[in-house]
Formats: sequence, C-alpha cells, structure tokens
Amino acid sequence: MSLNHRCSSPSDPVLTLPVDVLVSIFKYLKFREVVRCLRVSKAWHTQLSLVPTLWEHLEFIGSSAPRNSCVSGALRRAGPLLRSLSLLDAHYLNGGSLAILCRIPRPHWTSLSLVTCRQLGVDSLVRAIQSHGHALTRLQLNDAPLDDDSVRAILSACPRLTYLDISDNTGLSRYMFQGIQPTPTVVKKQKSSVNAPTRSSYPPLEHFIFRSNQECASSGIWIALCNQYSATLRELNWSGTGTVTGMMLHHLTLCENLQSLNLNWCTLSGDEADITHAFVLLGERCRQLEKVSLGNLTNITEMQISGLLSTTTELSYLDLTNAHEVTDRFLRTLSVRVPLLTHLQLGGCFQCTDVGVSHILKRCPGLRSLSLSKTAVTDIVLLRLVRYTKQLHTLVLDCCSGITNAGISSLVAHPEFVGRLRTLSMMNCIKIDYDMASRIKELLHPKAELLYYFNG
Amino acid sequence: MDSTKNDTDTVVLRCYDNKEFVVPRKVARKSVLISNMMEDIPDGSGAIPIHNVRGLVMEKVLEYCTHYADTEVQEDEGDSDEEFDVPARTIDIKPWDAKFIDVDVEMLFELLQAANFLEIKPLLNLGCKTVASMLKGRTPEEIRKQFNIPNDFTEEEEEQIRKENQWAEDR
Repeated sequence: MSLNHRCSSPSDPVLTLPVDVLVSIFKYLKFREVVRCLRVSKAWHTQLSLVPTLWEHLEFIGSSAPRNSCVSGALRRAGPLLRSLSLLDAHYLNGGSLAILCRIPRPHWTSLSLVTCRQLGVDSLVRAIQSHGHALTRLQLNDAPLDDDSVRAILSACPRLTYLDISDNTGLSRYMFQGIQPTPTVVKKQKSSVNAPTRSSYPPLEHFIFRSNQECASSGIWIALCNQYSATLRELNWSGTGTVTGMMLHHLTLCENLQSLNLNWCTLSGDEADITHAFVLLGERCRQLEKVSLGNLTNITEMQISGLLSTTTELSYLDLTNAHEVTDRFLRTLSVRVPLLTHLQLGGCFQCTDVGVSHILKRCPGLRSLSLSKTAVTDIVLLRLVRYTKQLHTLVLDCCSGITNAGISSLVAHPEFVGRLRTLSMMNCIKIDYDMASRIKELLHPKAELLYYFNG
Repeated sequence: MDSTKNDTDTVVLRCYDNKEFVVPRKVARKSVLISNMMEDIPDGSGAIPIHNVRGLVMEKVLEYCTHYADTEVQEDEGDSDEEFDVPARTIDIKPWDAKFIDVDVEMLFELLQAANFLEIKPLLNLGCKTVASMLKGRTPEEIRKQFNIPNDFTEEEEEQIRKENQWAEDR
C-alpha cells in the first residue's frame, strides 16, 4: 500500500494504480506482452521491472515450442527475480539458454519444468540444476537425456526437492538412487554438525512421478525409492510404467504417509494371493490414502481393490476405469467406506447398474465428478443424481445405451442440476438424439462443455 | 449475518464532493469496506463518509452494485474457479459487464481505484480485465495513445530497449 503514491507522471493512469492491482492486470498478459510494455515509457520500464511477481514465473505453454533466443531473452530479462520456469515444449532449447541460467547471480529457483528436452546436453542440464538447486522444490524433466549419474547428481544438488517428475525417460535404473549420503538427521546424530553435509543428503522427496517409463521400468527403482524415501513419500505415480508385483507392493507399505497412488495402465504380475495380501497390507498401513488410480490396471481383482480400500476413509479420488470385476455389491461396500469421495471413475465397469451407483450417490454427497461410461446404468441413475448430488460438475455417460432421450429430458426439469455441470459427455449414447443434446446444451452454463456425437 | 433483517433499510453514503446517495443496505453491502463500516457504525448515526470517491464515480459504482445486488457473492469466475480449468489469461467479460465498463479511460481508472478502495472484488476484476484487454497484443505506441502517455525515450534509447527485447517479438 505504501507504493500507492509513487512518483509518476500524473497523466499516466496505469502507474498510479496500487501494485497489487497492476499485478492483477498484468497476470492476464503473456510474459512477452509484459516485456513489450516495458517500451511504453521510462516510468513503465522502471516501475514494471521492479514488480517481482511479474517476473517470477516464466511459462511457455503455447502450442509451438519457443525458440532458444526467446527463452534466453526471457531468462536474461527476468534474471534473479525468476522463481519458476516452465517449458511445455523445450524442443528448441539448447545449452546456451542453460548457460544463461547458470550465470544468473544469487538464483532462488523453486520450480523448474522442462518437457521434451531430449536434445539438451545432459552435462549442461545437470550443471544448471547444480548451480540453482539449493532452493529447488519442484523439478520436472520429461523426455530428457537423463541417466543414473545425472539423476544422482541432481538429487544431491537439490536438498529441498519435494517433487520429482522424470516421466518419459529411458536409460534409468535403480542406481539413480544410489550413492547419496544418508539423511541429514542421521548424519547430525552421528557426527554433530562438523561438516554440515546438507548438500549431499537425500532430499525430502514427497512426490515421485515416473509415468510412461516402460523402457526402463524395473522393480529395483520402485523398491529403492520405497526404501530410501519411506518417511517422506506421499505420491507415487507409476502410470504406464509396466509391471507391478506383490513384492513391490509389499515394499510400498513402508511408506505410511502415502496419499496418492497411481497405477493406471500397469500390469499386475505374480501370485494372485500374494498381490491380494499386499493390497490388504497397503490399505492397513497407508491410512492417509486420498487418491487411488487403478484404471486399466491389468489383472486387478475385485478382492484386491476391496482389500486396498478396506480401511481407507480419507479417500476422495478413485479411478477404477475398466476394472471389469467391479460389481454392484462392491460399490455398496465401498460406499460406506469412502464418505469423502469427490471423484469416481467407473468407465468400463460393465457390471455396475443403477443399484450399485445409487449406493454411492446416497452415501457420498460431496461427489463432483463421475464417469459411468459403458456401465449398465439407465435413466434411473439420472434421477438419483439429481436427487443426491449437490456439487456434481463432471458427468460422463459415454456409450451408455441405457440412457435415453426420456432420461435426458427429465433433466430439463432440473435446471439447477444441469447448470452446475461443467462437463457433460454423452458420446455414442445411441438412444439420445441430436435434438435432445441441443436442448440440454441450452441449459448448460455457457462455459460448460458438452461432448456429444454418435458414431453410427 | 443477523444484519440481513435490515435489508429493506437504506443507508446514506457521502462522497468527498459532498454528494450523498441513499442506498439499500444490500446494495451497499457489495462493498466489503462499507459493509464493515455499517457494522461498526450504529444505525441512524448519519451518513457514511466515503472520502476517496467522487460522486460521479460513486454513481457508476452503485449502478454495478445494484445490478448484482441479488446475485450471491460472485464466485470470481475464470480466476478462482478451478473447475473450469481455464487459465487466468483468457479475458472473458460478460455482456452486461462489457456494456457497463464501456467508459472513457479516466472513468475506467477512477472506477478501478474506487473498486479497490471500497473492496468490491468483482468490479475490481472487471476493471483489471478491461485494462488488460487494452494492453493485450498492442504495440507500445498503441498503448501510449490509448492511455495518453508521452514517449520520453530518446530514439537511441528506444532502439536499444527494442533490441534488448527483440526475442519477445520473434517466435
């Protein structure tokens, strides 16, 4: 507020605004547009350069990959104010930009996110992170030129790292977790604080994202992770990374703070009874599980899902897409265990009918997103939805041949329900015609999305 | 809030140019500042002074508050409404709002200052979006013209800054 009356030419209405208002205006502009504004006048140049929040977050999220010159210019511009850099497509990035990164004095980076950065030299990448790692808490390097040595170097250079996403990589093995000194707490106990070795200790990793790494998937990585980060790990995302065995799951039970587990598109392999036992144990040990994704997890049985969820009451997100074994009876048991459920995906659970889904709807009043694609539900479920849900914003009914024009037209009488929806998907619902879809569209919020077409 | 029982009552607001407005309480309550003042000041103790806003601007502010008097505290759409998953960068203004905010630059900025002072978040956001849309995609020269800002760079300086930031122009 003290910046309210800064000296600026009285004729300039923009700069007389308080800084927080300026920030809310400029947040609508892209980084490059903010930069262009520097050329308006001397006062704009100095004032805008001094507003840290305008330069803290550098994001390139456009459809095309930014040129290297663009990124390095932006880095030079933001300089030491920069806190986070995010490149959704780092295709054109080269060592030159990273060299600029390394030269930024007194960097205080908290987040770095580079996607598609395979053509970056691994050395320059590691050097950049080493010189900026001390404050880094979030690191995403997808489709990157990483190997075990570089991950090891990164982990030891980032003592505060809590989030690590190294998805879409090849060439990694369990050795990436080796060779790091023991945790600082242990070291302190043994040697007091003589050599303060925080630089080479384990970072307090809470989130480990290891998606689509089928090529280098190994139980060794999983087990090493669970052993080393059991005290801190809260999220494990192994989606699409291959085989999951009973032994791996047993190791995961060490991570009692686990809140989120994603095993989408994996395959369970090994003795079924052993895996079931591991799931039960996991449910017993990891009482804080909030988010569980078991979609398209090959070979999963109803008993295993049930075992995992037998004691979890904190659960808010559950993805059971294509868990073909799931039945109404299971949904009924589930409904009493998960009162806090907000997101449920049952797409492809073809045994589920109105009866099972109704149990969930009655007992989970906070439900906000529900997918019932390819289930055996009928128009009755729509009436139940209107009656029991008060916060539903996403409803997916793709390929539900039991949902008809009559059911959708009964929704017309409940504009408050329809108005709350942000996404309504009715793809390939053969008993809903185009006219009905357009009628319901009129009731939807203008920003809401209606997905409807019929592949006849 | 038990003060809602007084919603039919009115309250008097006095601007700094002594212009007074008799306003239904529910309209006045759209401003967090006035709302707090109404709770602090006992009923019937005269006009509430609004020092930083002149009458003409207040009139416009009240037009906005009256229009939205019966709308529940607006979920600030687009910004905090994560369910939409729309980045805050899309500038999206409702038709009534667009018509309302179609004012000259001076009034626009006075409205912004007033909304900020009176703590009327939706109006402040509307103002910010409007100014942002006047900056978005414009050249520095167009921006200067828009807000009547003199160009105080020398030719050399301008050229140098342009060169420094050339990267922002090419794609």
